[in-house]
This record gives sequence, structure tokens and C-alpha cells, in this order.
Amino acid sequence: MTHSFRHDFPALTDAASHYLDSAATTHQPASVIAAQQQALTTGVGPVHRTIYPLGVATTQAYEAVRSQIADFTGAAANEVILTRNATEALNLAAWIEAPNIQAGDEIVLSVAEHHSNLLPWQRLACKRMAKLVWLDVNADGHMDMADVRQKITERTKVVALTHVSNVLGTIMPVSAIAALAHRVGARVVLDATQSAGRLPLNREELGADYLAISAHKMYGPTGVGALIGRQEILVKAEPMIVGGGMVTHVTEAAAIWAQSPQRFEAGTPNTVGVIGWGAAINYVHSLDWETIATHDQQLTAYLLQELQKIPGVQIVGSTLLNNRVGIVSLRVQAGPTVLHSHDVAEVLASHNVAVRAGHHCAQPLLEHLGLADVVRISTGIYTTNEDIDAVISAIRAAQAALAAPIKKQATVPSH
Amino acid sequence: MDLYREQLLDHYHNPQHWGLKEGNYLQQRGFNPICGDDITVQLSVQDNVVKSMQFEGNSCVISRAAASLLSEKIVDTPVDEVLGWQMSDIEALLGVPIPAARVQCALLAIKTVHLALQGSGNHSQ
Repeated sequence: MTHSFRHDFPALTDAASHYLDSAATTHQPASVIAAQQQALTTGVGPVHRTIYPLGVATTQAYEAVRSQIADFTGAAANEVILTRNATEALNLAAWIEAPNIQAGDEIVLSVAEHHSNLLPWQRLACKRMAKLVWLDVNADGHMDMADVRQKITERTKVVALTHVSNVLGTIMPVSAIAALAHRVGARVVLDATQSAGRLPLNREELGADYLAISAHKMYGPTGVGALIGRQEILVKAEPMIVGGGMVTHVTEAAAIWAQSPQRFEAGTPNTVGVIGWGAAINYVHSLDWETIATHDQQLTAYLLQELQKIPGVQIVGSTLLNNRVGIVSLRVQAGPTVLHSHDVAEVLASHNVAVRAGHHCAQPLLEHLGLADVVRISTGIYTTNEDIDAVISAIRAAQAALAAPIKKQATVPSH
Repeated sequence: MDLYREQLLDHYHNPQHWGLKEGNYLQQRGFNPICGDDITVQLSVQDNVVKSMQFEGNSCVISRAAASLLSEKIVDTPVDEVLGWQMSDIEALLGVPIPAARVQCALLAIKTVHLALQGSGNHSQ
């Protein structure tokens, strides 16, 4: 029986509510809420702009979290750029890489990328007349290294990769791919949104030149994320957003940018969110990685086992535990008809089970797998066996509720 | 669940006027980006009256039932009248209140029909 961490989370006190959409966003533990509340009660001053004690204290608290994020990812503090979220971080990485991309260059990305690590490169390739090259993912969600070796060439300038697929839950072979990328002088941009809080992140071991994470996917607040980038890259890079707080000197004619990472942090940040993120990092450390991994594996094993007992449930991706986390996508049939994930999610919602339905911001992946839409179940540290029991029973209820009325059989071929 | 009452499930599993045809029809594809509903409608129009509608696509219960019910109601309706149909008309067809999160599902068919009639549709051959 897995230990329950649910009691750490005020939003989950109702035992009848079953939240299984942690891959979309996670709940915040009491300690993270308290840290933000305390900051607000004590007073949140401006950061980097004042001489008086409140501002100085707020700035120190903000910068302390930057150092925490650096430790969390194995980087230096001046390599951590605080953003609104991982999406903004990935857009910033594409912005910084843009001058390096010329016509005919290639940007390699996996077919499993979330739209946030796809669209910035797609747009860049369009603007620069560069080519997008796609790394295949098989039906189990794994990559074929022979395919990767063939596709990363001397024309490759950037390899954009997800650490963990937000649809299939598979852990990609990042270090091996990064080694191939660096051999041809390409830079590696890693979307670590689904791995942060589930797996330890070490920027060097992974081989990431850029790493993007969001606080709200690791028990932290919304509205804050980070791009962790190599010092030697950032020191020469142009900022994406310009304005107050990222300049040393401004005249009517010109401006001199501040040093990195301040250069990339224009305007007033989500100060309270950053402070909350620091508390979330502390919470994750208090759990320790082995506990997190064990909890995840045990729940995922139970979920997969129970799902496979339901006739008409098709798991999308691997049914095995190796190299994957607690993110499982599936299709549900009622008789011969494959139910639309939206309807399944609707019935599950009426049973107090929260799951995600649709294409999960990964349309190329679904198309590659020959699917239109899937239901996704994803676990967090607060997920319990009871949550799994609830989703299993709700899926059976959905099959019954959405079945063809008894007097007639279905005539529509399912997609 | 009220939403999935028998009439809607019937239209979902046995939709009326399902399947695209060869021929000269107004044709238009519509998407619901949130969930992946995808529908293609074909309309035949004579003297500014919609004579028939058929459709197909990957769709949830609500969007398919709405399209199926619409394909029955639309027969022999003047184009101008069809262009005036909105959410209240679709809800009346479906016979059940539609939750806010599913409004786009309910509207997909009529919005796609409107696009087809407004001339942004392509003609099928």
C-alpha cells in the first residue's frame, strides 16, 4: 500500500474527489500556500529596484529561489531565467537560437513534442527557410536510436526534445540524443515540464543546453517557469522582451542591456509565485526522489493492471513500467464503438474523476499514432489507490452510459 | 446522466444522413480545437432552400447528435432561416441543457453549415 501524501494538499481534503490530471497542472501543498500567504502578509516589495528594507528582503527571497532552481537543475544561478511558464521559456530559447539558423539548416524534433516545444521551432524554421526533421516514436512511445542517428547530421543546428511525453508517459533517451547532437555542434533544447518533480534533473547529465520547466507542474504556483541556459550562450544573447529592469542605461537613442539573467527578465515578475516555487522545491526535496519514484511506479503498475482488466479499453503506448512515468492515455469502447474522449471525460467528471480528453497539445503525435483523441490519466504524489479504483469504476460506468440503446445496434463504423 | 439521454445516444450510434456522397454539394469542414471534434458537411441548395444535408467525421455524442438532428430539421428550410439558427435552436433540438464546457460541441455542426452556406465552403465533385 503506497503511503498517502494527500493530506499535505488542502485542495484534496474531499475523499470523494479524484484528481487524475496532474500532467495538466498539480495542486499545491499547504507549505507552498503558506509561503505565498506569508510573503503577502509580510509585504511583497519591488524586486531589484529599491533601497528600503521591504524591497531588499523581497529581492533576497526572489534571488534565493533562483539559486534553488539552479541547484534543482545542476546549473549556476546566473543561468536561470525566470519566465511566466515553460512555454515562454521555450519561445525564448527559439528566440535566442534564431540568429544561428540559416536557410537550409535543420531543426530536429520528436514527433511527440508538446505544441509549446514545436510551434516556436516551426515558426523559426518558416522564417529562416530551415527544415524540420522529425524523430519517430513507435506505438509504445519509444525512440529508435538508429532513426535518431540517421536524422541528426551536420546540417542540424537544434535538437528540441521532450524529456517525458505528456501523452504516452515515456522517458526519452535524452543523454544519448544530446551526445549525438553535440557531436555535430547542434544545441539541445529540453522540455522538462513533465519530468520536473517526478525525476531528478541534472542539466549536465542530460546534456541540455537549454532546459524549460514550469512551477505549476511540480506542486508550485501557476504563472512562473524558467529557462535554464548555458552561461556562454546567454552572455551573448539578445533579450526577447525589453523594458524596465533589464537595462543598465537608456537614452533616447539607445539602451545597454543588463547582464544575464536580468537581461531576460523585463518588467515586474510574478514575485509571489517565485517565492511559492521555492517552497515547492523544498516540498519535492522533502519527499526524496526514491519515495517519489516508488510511489509513481506502484500506482502506475496498479493503474495499468486494472485498466487491462476492462474489455474495450485500449491503452495507448506502452503497458510496461520501464522508462515511463504515471501518465497513461487510453481509448474506451462501448461495444464496437470507440467513444469520443470528451464523452468519457464527461461521464468520469460526473463521478468526480478528473481526467483530460482530446489531443493534449500534441496533435502531430496523435496523428502519427493514427488517433484523433485520447483520454489521459496522470498521477501526482497525492494520488492514491482509491483514486485509481474510482477511475476504473467510472470508466466502466462510461461504457454503460454511452452504449447504444438496447433496441438498436450501432450502425456507424468507429474511427 | 441527463446529458446522455437515450435520444442523443441513438443519434450518436445511428446518426441520420451519415456519410459523404459524390455529387455537386456545398462542402465544408469544421473543427473543435479543444477536443478534436472534426466534421465535414455537405449541403444541397436549390432556389435558396436547403434540400438536404449529410455529414461525417470524428465527433463526440453531443456534436454528432446535434449534426444528426440538424440534418433532419434542415430539409426544405430557406437558407436565410438556417443562417439565423443559433445555440437556443440547437439546444431545443437536443432537448437537454448543454453545459458550458460542451457548447462548442453543440455548435460545431451549425457553425460548419453556416460557413458552407456563406460561400467559404468548397464545392465537392
